Amino acid sequence: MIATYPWLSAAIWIPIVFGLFLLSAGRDRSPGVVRAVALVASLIGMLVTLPIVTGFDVGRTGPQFEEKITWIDSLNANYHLGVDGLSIWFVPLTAFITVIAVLAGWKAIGERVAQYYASFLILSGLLIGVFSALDGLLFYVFFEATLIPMYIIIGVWGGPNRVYAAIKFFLYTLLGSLLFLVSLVFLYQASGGSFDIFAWQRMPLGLSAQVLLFLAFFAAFAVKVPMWPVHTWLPDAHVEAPTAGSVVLAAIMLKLGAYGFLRFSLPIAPDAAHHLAGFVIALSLIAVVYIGFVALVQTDMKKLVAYSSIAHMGFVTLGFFIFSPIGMEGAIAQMVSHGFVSGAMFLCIGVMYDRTHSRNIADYGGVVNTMPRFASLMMLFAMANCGLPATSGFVGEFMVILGAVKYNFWIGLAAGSTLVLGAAYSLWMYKRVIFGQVANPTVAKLTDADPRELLAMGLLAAAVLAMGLYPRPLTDAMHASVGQLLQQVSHSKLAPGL
Amino acid sequence: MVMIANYQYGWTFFVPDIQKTFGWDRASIQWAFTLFVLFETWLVPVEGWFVDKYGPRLVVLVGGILCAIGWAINAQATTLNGYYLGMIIAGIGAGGVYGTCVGNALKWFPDKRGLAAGITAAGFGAAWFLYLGRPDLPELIKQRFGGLYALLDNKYYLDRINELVFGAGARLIGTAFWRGGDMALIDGAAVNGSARLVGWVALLVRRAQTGFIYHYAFAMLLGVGVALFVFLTWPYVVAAAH
Repeated sequence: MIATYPWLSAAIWIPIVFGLFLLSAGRDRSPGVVRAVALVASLIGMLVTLPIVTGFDVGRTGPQFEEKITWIDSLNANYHLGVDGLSIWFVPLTAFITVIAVLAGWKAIGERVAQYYASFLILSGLLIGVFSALDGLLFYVFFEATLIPMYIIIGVWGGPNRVYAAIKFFLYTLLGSLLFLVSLVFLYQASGGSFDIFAWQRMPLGLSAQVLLFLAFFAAFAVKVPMWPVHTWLPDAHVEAPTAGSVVLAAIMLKLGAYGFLRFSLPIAPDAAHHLAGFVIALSLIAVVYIGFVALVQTDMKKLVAYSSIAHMGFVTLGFFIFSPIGMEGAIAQMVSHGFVSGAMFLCIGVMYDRTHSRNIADYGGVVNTMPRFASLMMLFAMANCGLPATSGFVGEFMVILGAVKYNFWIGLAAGSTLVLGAAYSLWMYKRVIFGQVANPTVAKLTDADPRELLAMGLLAAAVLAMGLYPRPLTDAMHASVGQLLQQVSHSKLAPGL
Repeated sequence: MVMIANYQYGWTFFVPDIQKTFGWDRASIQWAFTLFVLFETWLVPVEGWFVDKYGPRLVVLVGGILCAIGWAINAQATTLNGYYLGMIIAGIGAGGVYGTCVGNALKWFPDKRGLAAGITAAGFGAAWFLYLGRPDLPELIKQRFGGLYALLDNKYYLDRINELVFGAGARLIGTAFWRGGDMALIDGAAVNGSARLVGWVALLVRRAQTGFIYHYAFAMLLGVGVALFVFLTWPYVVAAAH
């Protein structure tokens, strides 16, 4: 039953169908019903991902829960889904974060509630589609389609400068994706008319073709991660997006780029990946160090956490390109952890913003006196954001640093600086916002987190601690697939004579 | 020892606040400290017996836990008896830690027992001498060794160095990266710059758009002519190149 039921299709289409239902039937005069339907839809969406986790065979390397039916016969494009150790965790993570996003917007959104929740539900299905697609064209469709609901979320329910941020987000990410489309067309031709990603991974390719493909992939995925210097869309998008939009953007959407490296760049162009590893490592280290410093001087809390996201994602790309099991597993662990921690940080900022309508650090101070429960949970997330042991943030960072030190001591040292910088910007912000005397009458009037907010933060706190204290199930599931990927990357794909 | 030394050296720091908060007289509050010292010192023989029987590690561990419990009780106490209870528990714990540490120093250095015990206790002896025996001496020492005093009093100036060099330096670097790199170079020149460039080019191109259909038709004919020319001459160009 578990192996044969189309769980992945259910995880993709249940939220999308509910989203379309809300779009067509949802009315602004009954927002309570809309919210309840959205919550039920997100919970069902999360429940159907559980069998995928419990039924996943950690010893197998190939795709599991596979579904394959013909989609566009003339193009030989298939509706081909499946998850392996590289993608397994992102399916339940997406569904889980969608529940958090639904809870986060419960009171904050009062206009066009049906459209708002429909956007999130549709986005959730599309994101799961990206992580499960094993057909190049299907991947591209899902990958690009995710832009639309997020563009609408930022553009309609965002802050005062939302139109600028939404257009910047859209153009930045679309520009890279067009080169990705060109590379897909090339691979389709070169493979004799197939969109099968695994066939592309096995196909021999010359070095120049690999380098061009790698750069085309890089244009799409580096923007999405985002890597330095194509990162400036992210702080603007986060600042203007509503809280739930920021949560999904940071927790899931940034992972699309990193996942693209795992699914396309490394296995399809392994020789180019080795040739250009130094370049990617350099950009990753710049992201870690440069962005760490930039985060330190931010006065807007959301911008600070957005910059810290870029620094943390720099760790992910660094882990991929040192080509070691511990580095790669650490990078994927970091992706999952960042999903929890960054989502939680944006949620915390949203809780305060809903009360004060300010994200400026200077407008706060002494929040612990009026919001003690909230302050305790935010402390945990701030600690996780700087990689404190026993929190999820430590697992990935430690593994990547360990891998980086083995690869090259100086690279490891530079990567390790994030622990200092991360602690500096996270805890300094926490200190200025939470500790000290009550700064002003607005802070004095703050009320502590309500049960709904505590539930959302509590779920994230449980995830942060569970992963921090016992990360083994997480790494066990990815072990076989990471081993296979590294084997693929270590074997040259250069065709004889090329 | 250092970790639990806050009881002795930090207590007086809290006394004024406790007095201010609860309004108790200082003598009553200081009974808490007296009880702490009594239980810390008088029970050391018993704790020494435990060390012989169960080993120093366990006694220090239990002592540390008792100190932590005392700390927690003191943090929550709202009555004098609460403080007394906290300090008694902490005193028992502190005695366990101190007694075991000093005893261990003697066992580790059997040939220099006096020196070991002396060094361990010297700190406390010196403190008594300087604070109670000759309270005038610290001022004289301060005057005589002004430079050394300033160095120690400012914790080797490490905090100041941290603030000025690392703290302010990091903020300076961050501001330079943010304003110079992100805002001016990446966003200002590359992203918005390219958008401005597109705008300027569009402005120039727009001037060529007169609105007259015959202008557009002429441009199209010109284009067809250029395309035909390239198409017809291309084989010759390629042949000439070979």
